[in-house]
Amino acid sequence: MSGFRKTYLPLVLFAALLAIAPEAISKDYYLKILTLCCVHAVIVAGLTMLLGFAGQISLGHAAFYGLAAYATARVTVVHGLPMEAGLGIAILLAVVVAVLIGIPSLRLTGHYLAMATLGFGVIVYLVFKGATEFTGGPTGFTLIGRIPRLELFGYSFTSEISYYYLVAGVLLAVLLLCLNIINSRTGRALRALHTSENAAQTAGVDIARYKLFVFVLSAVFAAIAGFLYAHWHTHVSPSSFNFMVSVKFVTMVVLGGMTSIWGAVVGAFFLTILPYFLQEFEHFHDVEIIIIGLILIISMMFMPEGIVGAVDKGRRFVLQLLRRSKGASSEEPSHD
Amino acid sequence: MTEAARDIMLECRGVTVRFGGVTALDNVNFTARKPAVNAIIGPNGAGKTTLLNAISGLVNMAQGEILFQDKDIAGLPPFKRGRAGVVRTFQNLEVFTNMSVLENVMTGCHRRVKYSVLDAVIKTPRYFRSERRCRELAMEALDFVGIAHMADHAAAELPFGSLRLLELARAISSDPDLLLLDEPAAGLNMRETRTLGQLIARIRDELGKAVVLVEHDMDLVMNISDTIIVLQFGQELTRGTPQEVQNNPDVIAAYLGEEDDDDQQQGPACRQN
Repeated sequence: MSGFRKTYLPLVLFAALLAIAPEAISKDYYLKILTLCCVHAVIVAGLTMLLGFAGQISLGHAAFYGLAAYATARVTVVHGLPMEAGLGIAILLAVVVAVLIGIPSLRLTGHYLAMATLGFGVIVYLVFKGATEFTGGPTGFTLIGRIPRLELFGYSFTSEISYYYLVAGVLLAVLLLCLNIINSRTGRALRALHTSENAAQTAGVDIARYKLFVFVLSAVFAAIAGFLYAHWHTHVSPSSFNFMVSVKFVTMVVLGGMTSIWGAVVGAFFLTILPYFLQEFEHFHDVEIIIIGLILIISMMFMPEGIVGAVDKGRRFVLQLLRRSKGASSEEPSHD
Repeated sequence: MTEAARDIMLECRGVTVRFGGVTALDNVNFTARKPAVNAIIGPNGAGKTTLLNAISGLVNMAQGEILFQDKDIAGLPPFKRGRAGVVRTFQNLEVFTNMSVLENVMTGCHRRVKYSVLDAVIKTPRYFRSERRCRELAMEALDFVGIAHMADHAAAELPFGSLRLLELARAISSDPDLLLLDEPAAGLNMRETRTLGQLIARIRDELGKAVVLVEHDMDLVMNISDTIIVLQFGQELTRGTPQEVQNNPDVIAAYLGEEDDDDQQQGPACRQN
């Protein structure tokens, strides 16, 4: 089955790439960047399912990311519970909040989800900053305590390399899950309601349920990423989860390419690494938001299908050129 | 086959739809039988599409009952009507442009393949079995309308005439009990319209479906319809066989226009193409 190979071959290649990447880079510093890339890719994969496949916009995914990070921080540091409990509570919290936001806003057509999540993101950020006794306020959670390094089921991920492999493994699992959903009736239903809600409904697709499903799924991915981030960075502060971060995630989706789950990977890696290159410039941090905005505009205008779409188009163009030069003498299949 | 020998699939009683102060449909009764082509005609703005929308649940009725297979479906949301077997096509194509032709039609099979997300995620035998079946059903439908050779094309690349056939294939693939066609010939040339007419007749004769046809092309309607209802200003003008309707002086007046001269240019005479 060629469709099978086309779907899973990139995943295998990507897994191999992630596996050998630490060999190729020397410093722990680069490994940290790569780990952060994978954490971001987990969130962006969920957002691609939501935005690229189902066509629903969320401007508050940094809030789910942050809620999970703070939740696991409190559960493990303040209440002294094991980290498995932290993960469970982080996910549960994401599901409950996503359902509460999703049910009213997804029943309506239009950009109500974008508005609801925008408000949600801003509120959550203000709570992170303001509820000092709970979150440590603007300084961050260090005011309350240091978040422990991850220890799951008796195995502690203290070294940078072990953490990298864990996060890479989670990313691969998330991608596999997304690919399997995309290639099923659920994936078709999501893409269907993206283009025509009426046609999807008359085909028997319960659009409200599918929208809620994919929104909750994306929130859970963000929660998993938040959990991994908290126990890796061992410190969380509000600025990591503000509105700008949500916009950055959306930019990753758009830049990478909305129509493919691989766009999530490309977008997340590209936009996570980019700031480290641009750090050389003195005032980079002040203009970061402008650069992100420009990237969003330019990719919307010139690469509506993102980097993945542009590469695919380029590949097809080259193939066509090759075929044309090869078959110049013989008969040429005409394309209308 | 006589009228009474056919099963009644759909019965609309006293359907009334209002948009603000405008009454788009006023106490309309409509019956669709199988196997038969049940046509709805009328000048522009007569309420034909509104009636289809009311049947498929896309607009809310102010009053009336919609009995589908003897059950009132008026309170059901559109997707439940779709699942029950009330399937339609759209006047302004609603093709899923972000999918291939085959995937479009496989989406039409949504109600016929039942497996959970979990089946898909862990790839159970049930998933593989259902997907294979879904692909077969979709290919059958594409074959039926004659565009099976385009299965792997992106739907967005198809020419207009093929898009109409694609929508038809998507609707057929769901094995509907009631198939609503909203101006399927709009935008088609003469040859394409003739092919479409043959297809609709085959849907009735070979698949034994109840087809509800809203159409402006009078040649098509008169050729393949078993019964016709004529709407005007949201009300029933008359009903009967194509012969009866064609010879009805009221219908001729409605189409050619007596005193009323706005929005009624579309008559039998000007749609000969």
